[in-house]
Amino acid sequence: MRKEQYLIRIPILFFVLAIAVIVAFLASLLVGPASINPFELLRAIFSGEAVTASLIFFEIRLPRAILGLMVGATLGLTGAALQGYLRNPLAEPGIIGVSASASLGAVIAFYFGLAGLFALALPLGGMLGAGLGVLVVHLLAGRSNSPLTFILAGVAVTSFAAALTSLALNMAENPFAALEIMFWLMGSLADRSFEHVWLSAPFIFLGCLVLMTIARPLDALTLGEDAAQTMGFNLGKVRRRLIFGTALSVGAATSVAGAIGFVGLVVPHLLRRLTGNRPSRLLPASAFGGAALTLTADVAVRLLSPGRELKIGVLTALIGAPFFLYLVLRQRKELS
Amino acid sequence: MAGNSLFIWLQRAFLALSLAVFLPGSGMAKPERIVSMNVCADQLLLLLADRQQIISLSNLATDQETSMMAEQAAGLPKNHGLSEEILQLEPDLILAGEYTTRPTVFLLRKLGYRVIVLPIATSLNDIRANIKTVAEAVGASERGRALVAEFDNKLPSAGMSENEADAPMAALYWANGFTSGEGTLASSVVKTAGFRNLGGELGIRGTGQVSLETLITSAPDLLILDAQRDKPAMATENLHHPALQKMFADHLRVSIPSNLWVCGTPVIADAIAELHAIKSKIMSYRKVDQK
Repeated sequence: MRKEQYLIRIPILFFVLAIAVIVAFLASLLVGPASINPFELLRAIFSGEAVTASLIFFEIRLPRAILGLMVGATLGLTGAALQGYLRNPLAEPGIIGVSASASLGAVIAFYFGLAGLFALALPLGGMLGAGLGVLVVHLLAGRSNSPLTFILAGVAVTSFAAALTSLALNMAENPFAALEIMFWLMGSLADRSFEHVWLSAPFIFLGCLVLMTIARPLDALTLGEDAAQTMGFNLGKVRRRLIFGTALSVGAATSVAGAIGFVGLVVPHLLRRLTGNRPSRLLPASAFGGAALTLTADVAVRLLSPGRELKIGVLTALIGAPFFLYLVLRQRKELS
Repeated sequence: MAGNSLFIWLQRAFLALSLAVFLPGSGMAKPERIVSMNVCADQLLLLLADRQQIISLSNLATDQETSMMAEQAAGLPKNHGLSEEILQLEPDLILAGEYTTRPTVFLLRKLGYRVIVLPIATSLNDIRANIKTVAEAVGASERGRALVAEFDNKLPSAGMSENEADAPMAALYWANGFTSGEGTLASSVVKTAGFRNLGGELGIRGTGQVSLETLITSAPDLLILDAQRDKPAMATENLHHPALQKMFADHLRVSIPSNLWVCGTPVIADAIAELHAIKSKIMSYRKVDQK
């Protein structure tokens, strides 16, 4: 009986997702303004002879691909976790204001010299901002389960944080700062280096681990809060882990890549049916899917506008915003 | 009576005319109340005019990151290039830039003020011409000639006279990945110092962006960077990218403060001399390598 829920078997699904991630990762390594053919690249990697090719590979493209992988996985995973806990299909770090407040935290840490004093200030600022953001939305939306209240609270936090981010950037003393608003609101992986990978990886990893621990309670929660509690899950604990894990992973990811929207919205939706509506499977699947989507989008911005790169968040919003609209319309139909 | 008055009138007119022709007219007398509304004009003015001739400089005159002569400008009054401000100062000579404070220049000219608009220097010749213009306007032609001579003396004699294709290549790399191509002051500085300019060879005219990957695959011999500012911005992160630090040894990665390129001032000759010394080193390494 149960098997009929799945369109394809779970191991096959994860196999396909893993292949997608690997293909997108390799594509991200191969695409760039400098045309290096794959054979030259392979020779550079293994011989260490062609200095420029290996420099471009190891110092520019590899960190970019790794960041795309980590940031994408974070966004997919947190999107799935937030949607599971809130039982609200519109929840997503970008929409509920977590990404925007993470940007604000990172901006303050970066432009006012804290990150210059000690490098970890950047991800810490992002995490602090993300934590505050998710906490505020939680308090604003309260216990009311209405999607409307929740989205409104998210919109309020997002626009407030974005406004404060612009204010901070305009007040920053470096004349270039004001022009960098696009990066923080739309996100980009261009010309990042391994420094950014090392700065964010530990926190992203830890945050994702914490989020994975709530996969089973989220399964129980699909039956309702009372059912979950009678099954022995402590909802307060689940909520604390959700907030902590989201703050760590989204905060660190945003502090190095800016706020990339809609990945966390689209990916869980595409995979929900395929995982039989079970969060414990949807969470890891969304991490894979998020990584694949983000890496693909990042390859696309390099192909679509070489030289003058489009911000990756522009592309994800172009795909994500119509999707969001479609979800809202569908929900309205279901309600009426 | 009528004839008499006509005679007197003619006499006066003749006198006025001859004064205008043979004596330096009032407009050409040494100006005593000079106002500059542009940071590049500020610096030439400080170099050429007597300090008591200057009654106001632009508000950027004391900005360390823009002007090379911020210290010398300290203590002098400043303006923001607004018409009302300038009129109140009752200037007898106004210096302005080509693109800034256009409405003010228009109004001042309409009211009959003497306004000199300095073109933006995009070559060493422009610098010489601007020095001459300002020197003559402030009544210090001799000082101007001396300054140009001193400038020319500092320049390396050879320049790009050697076989062009053989010359080492320099890459100019600014905040946000911008570079300077043909028709820029930075490019003529680099060329006078004896380098080819990567921006120009990539077909960039004026200022344009170059990706980090293109920069690395072009393998220039020397990397010239914007000097780091104290205040952080992501715009300048590209200058410290690990790939650049690995590719260029410390002595082949030089920083030049951006205020040197903002305006064409004779100070640029020192930078050219420094770059030329680096070029000679690169050429001597090459000879060792070839042997």
